[in-house]
Amino acid sequence: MKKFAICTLLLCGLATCVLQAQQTAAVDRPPEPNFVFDDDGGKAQIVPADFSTVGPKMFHGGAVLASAQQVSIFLGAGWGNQQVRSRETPLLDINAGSGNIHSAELQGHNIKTLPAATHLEDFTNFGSGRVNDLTIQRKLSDLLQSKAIPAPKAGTVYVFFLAPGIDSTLGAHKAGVDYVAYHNFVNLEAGEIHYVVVPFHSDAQRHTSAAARAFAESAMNPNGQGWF
Amino acid sequence: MQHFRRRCLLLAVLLLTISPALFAQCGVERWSVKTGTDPDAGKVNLNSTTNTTISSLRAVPAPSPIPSNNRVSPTETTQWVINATLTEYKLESDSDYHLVLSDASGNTMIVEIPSPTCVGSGSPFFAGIQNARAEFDARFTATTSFQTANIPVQIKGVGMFDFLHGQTGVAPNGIELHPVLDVIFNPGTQPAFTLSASPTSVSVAQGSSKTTTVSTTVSGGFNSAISLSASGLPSGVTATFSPASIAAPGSGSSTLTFTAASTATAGTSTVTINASGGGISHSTTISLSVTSGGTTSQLLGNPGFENGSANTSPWTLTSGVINNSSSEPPHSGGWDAWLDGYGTSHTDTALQQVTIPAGATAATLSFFLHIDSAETSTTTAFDSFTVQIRNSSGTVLSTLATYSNLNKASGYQQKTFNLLSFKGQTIQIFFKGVEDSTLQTSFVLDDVTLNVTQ
Repeated sequence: MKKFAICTLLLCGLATCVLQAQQTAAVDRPPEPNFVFDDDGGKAQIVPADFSTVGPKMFHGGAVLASAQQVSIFLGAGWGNQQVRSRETPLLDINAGSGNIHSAELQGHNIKTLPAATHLEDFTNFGSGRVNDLTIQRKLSDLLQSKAIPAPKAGTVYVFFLAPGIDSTLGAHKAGVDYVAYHNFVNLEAGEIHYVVVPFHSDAQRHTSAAARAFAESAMNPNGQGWF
Repeated sequence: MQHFRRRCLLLAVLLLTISPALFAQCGVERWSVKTGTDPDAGKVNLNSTTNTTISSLRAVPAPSPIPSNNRVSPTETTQWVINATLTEYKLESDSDYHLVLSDASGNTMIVEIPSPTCVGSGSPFFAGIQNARAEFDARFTATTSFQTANIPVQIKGVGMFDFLHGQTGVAPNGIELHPVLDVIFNPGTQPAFTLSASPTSVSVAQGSSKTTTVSTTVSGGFNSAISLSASGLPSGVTATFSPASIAAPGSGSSTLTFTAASTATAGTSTVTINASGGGISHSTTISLSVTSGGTTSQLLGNPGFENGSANTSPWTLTSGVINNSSSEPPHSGGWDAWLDGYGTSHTDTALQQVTIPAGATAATLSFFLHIDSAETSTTTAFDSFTVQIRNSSGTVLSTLATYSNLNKASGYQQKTFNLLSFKGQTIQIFFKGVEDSTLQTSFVLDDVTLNVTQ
């Protein structure tokens, strides 16, 4: 009898996984390379997992930030670990340093990079480890309402660094498989908010590179109609 | 043991059924408006519907800014009915069903059915959302991938301006029906009729009359006379239909005349037009304003820019705006105000300061606007034209409307706005055209009037 019960539950779990895998596999993508549909039907630009690019950027007539300033949010209980936390310092101002290729690219598009503003550590424990783009938007709304992070200025880009152990998804896409970072925007009480999400990467170099590229792309293409 | 096995199987089926919901999330952006938990949700009249089309809704100027937690009246406080073709559908990660509707000309717009699990219990739309979701589920299975369809539908839902962010099928102004409250597939196969009125906003002075046209269209073999009546009239106003009913088979129009006695109560009322025939009843509403029968004066100087370029007073204009070339002919007379049209980054403005008397009982700003553009985008507003009311120091008091290259059309279109809320104030009527770096858009303005009754 116990065997039957265990088998039934295993079968159920397997079928659930298959169902979800089928739904995940059958996803649409917008025609533009390195864009995916986000959680509420819009488009978001990703840094693909292989860091591939799509040739020279073209201007599409939309908004471009005149300046960009990083506000960092280290999100998730994993940042409480001292070893992980030591990773925060080089991420606090990802565009600092003249050798950064993305800083040069921003300069080439007449976008000023302001010194990074304050940062926040939010050690929320996401029980299931799953965080999608709607979770990020709700977290932004909560943090802004509680004034835990500064209100947005014209060039503010909030950069979420996710702690290890958090599985980030964007629409039907998964961090590590489909992307290493992405940027998006949302309209809240405080106005139009631009943000970047950077899932944790075991390789510190690639972690920083992904963040710097997504930050630069957010400044050059904040609403999906700029340079890309 | 037999019982235990059955229970296990039941549990398995239950888990399979609910497991996607366990991972479902609800949206964030304008979510209260999308699901009816915003403070303005009570302003939506769920006892009335207004028939419209995709192209009509796409022509409504998008508000700027879009309020995150309030409604833009009347578009977002009206329950609309659209007949169109469902072409695509998808389950979003925010649990909405995203439906793309198309009309015969290929114009598209989005309508969305939220998940009832994401709708607050206080929402007046809850029952309708539950109903629409069940109606859709009975016909289709939405997944996380777009699926195509080609089926006539009649959709009832509440208007909602979404932010443009590359959604599939989005209207250029972001208008959606969100939430959808009722879905009828193949509506033409059932005898039915629709009811509409044009214009839906009527202003009548005490001691005078005004008309609007009430129209009906039939489908699905409907064949019956349709009787018309009006309710909710303010004191001292009568409504007369000519003819009093639409003859069978039921398609036609009737002229509705509002007659206001000199003692009629001044103010704005919502009048309900009722239509019944063949066992079916529909209603629509008209906003009726009764104004005092005082004297009406036009307050703006040089309203048609006919003073020419030598003396533009009392307008304050940027250089090169006053125009008499045949490239952009005026609505009337010989001159107009031609803002932008350079195809480079450029801003033109036109303003006139005026005082609306404190005793005004009506104040209506009217102008004729022609927009032509070399832009070809049907989704992106590259060049814009904003109509604002500012105080005498130039501080913006209200943005009345924003138009763009997406509103380009042949000929002039008349725009009217109620400025009574500014009575007793000195204001600037301010027009601003902003053009980006390439592909010209011309905003041509003419015959700007401010009629004030007191």
